Amino acid sequence: MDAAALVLSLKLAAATTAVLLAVGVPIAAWLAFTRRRFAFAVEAVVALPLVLPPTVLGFYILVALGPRSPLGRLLEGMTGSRLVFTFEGLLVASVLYSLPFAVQPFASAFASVEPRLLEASWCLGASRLRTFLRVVLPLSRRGLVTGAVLAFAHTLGEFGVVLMVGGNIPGLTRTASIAIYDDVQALDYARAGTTSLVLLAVSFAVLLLTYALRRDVRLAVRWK
Amino acid sequence: MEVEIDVSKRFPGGATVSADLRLGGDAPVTVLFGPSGSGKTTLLRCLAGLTSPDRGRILFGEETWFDAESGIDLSPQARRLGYVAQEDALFPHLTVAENVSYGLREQGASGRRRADEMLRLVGLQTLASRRPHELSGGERQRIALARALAPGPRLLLLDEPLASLDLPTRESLRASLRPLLVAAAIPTLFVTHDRLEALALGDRLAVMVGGRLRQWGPVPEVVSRPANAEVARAVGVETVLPARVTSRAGGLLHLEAGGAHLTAVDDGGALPAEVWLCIRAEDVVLERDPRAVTSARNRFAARVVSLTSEGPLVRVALDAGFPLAALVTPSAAAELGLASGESLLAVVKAQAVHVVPRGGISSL
Repeated sequence: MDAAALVLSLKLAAATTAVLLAVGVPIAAWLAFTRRRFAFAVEAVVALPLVLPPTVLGFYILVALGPRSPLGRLLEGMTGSRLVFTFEGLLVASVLYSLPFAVQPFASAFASVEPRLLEASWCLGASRLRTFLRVVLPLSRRGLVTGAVLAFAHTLGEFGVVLMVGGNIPGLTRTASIAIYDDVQALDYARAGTTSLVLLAVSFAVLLLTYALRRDVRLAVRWK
Repeated sequence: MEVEIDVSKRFPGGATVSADLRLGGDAPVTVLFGPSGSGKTTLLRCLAGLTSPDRGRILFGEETWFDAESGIDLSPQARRLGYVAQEDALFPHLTVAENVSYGLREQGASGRRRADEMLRLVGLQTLASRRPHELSGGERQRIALARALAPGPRLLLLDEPLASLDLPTRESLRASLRPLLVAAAIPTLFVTHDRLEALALGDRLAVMVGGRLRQWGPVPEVVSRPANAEVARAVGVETVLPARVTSRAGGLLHLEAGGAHLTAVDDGGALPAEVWLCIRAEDVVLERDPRAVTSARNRFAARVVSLTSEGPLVRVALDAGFPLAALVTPSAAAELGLASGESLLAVVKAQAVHVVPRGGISSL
């Protein structure tokens, strides 16, 4: 079993989920409540990673973050280090790749909060932001959990994007899914098998927990 | 504090809602009355700042809340009002106490005291730690009222708060609401399509029909002198009279209205001396023979004022010392030889005389 690769995968998935909670919630809130005509276009952009081959997405991220692109040079100038073939670069790629898996459940949860509750809150003097924090977010907790778990599980399983952006540096950018591919190439089926089994177990456990939470309404009501 | 409203709003389908009235002043509770779909809720939402009118102005005392010309449209937050919607809008994830203190600026101990005070006001202090889904419909509406009153709003908007409740709950809440609203001393607009609610709660009555505010004024004036047929139909052409309770005994109420004495069944509820007396036109029986003995308690000598054909029935306007309306079939009208100026007997059973507490100006 490639323990270092598994730890890296879990670390990447956790970091991606955290970033997506911070970035995805405002995007989803905008999508759920905006009346702008072009909202549909933003929605389509957010959903793009669902249909794009991971290698295509990875290719663009590689080019955009690389030393030849203005963005890459700007980031390099600001941080003093290159993003491609680093953990941070992987994180950027993972966040983009898993964006729809977080934003879509968030947005649909926000949109399903009854408008009369929002109006009641406004009439009681609460600002739109306070209304969002005290009414919309607590009533969307199931959507938030679903989105976070899906983003986590999806990041655990990503392969093409990681390969394109991260390369295959042991302990730095070699995630579990890449380690498995490597082991198979080297005909080390035993090692590939154990890593696969652990990845399967972790992914399945995460999904089991989510669906159990989603089904158990009593638990969800009590869980504040 | 007086609120001046003159607004109109056109909807994409072509429907228009327009209203011109004043709230508050010396008459705290204005009842906005009209059939379903007449635009009552739209007017209320314009006042709350939840819907923007296309034209007109809303002035709250010296303050401009809305002015189409200068583009002023204050947010609901800035208007500092209390709004109770028709369907229950309590926050399901908060306890009763948390709901009531939601709009309070002061949190902590003084906020808890205020929330407590509000819960006592609506008589539900024992439910503070419950969640909305553990409450009955009537309890939920009382909590919604307590929540709206807690921050000390400058205007109270109530959109059919009793409409979704079952009849006994509605009647008991209706009885307790008027003293509560008067004690709060906030200009209040109470939307309803229930006549009894309108009579029991209002100082002023504003009648909306087909998207337009047709008439507003003191309740007795609007009820007894509707400006036009549409208002008359909306408030119901049935007989509504101011009356006085002269005595209560043996399960019966004895009443005096315009010189006539009437008997009604006493439902045992608390009643002030001043009441509204309501008689549905279909409950009035007309007779020719003054010697006939009947079980009905109320018999009046009456004169026919006019006859109007109304669908399959004839509406008979009578003068029995007070105006009284009756509905009869055309064949009955023919057999009785009804014609204007004719004298006959109007008979009403005691059970058909409904008595509503008079919340109007006279009791203030």
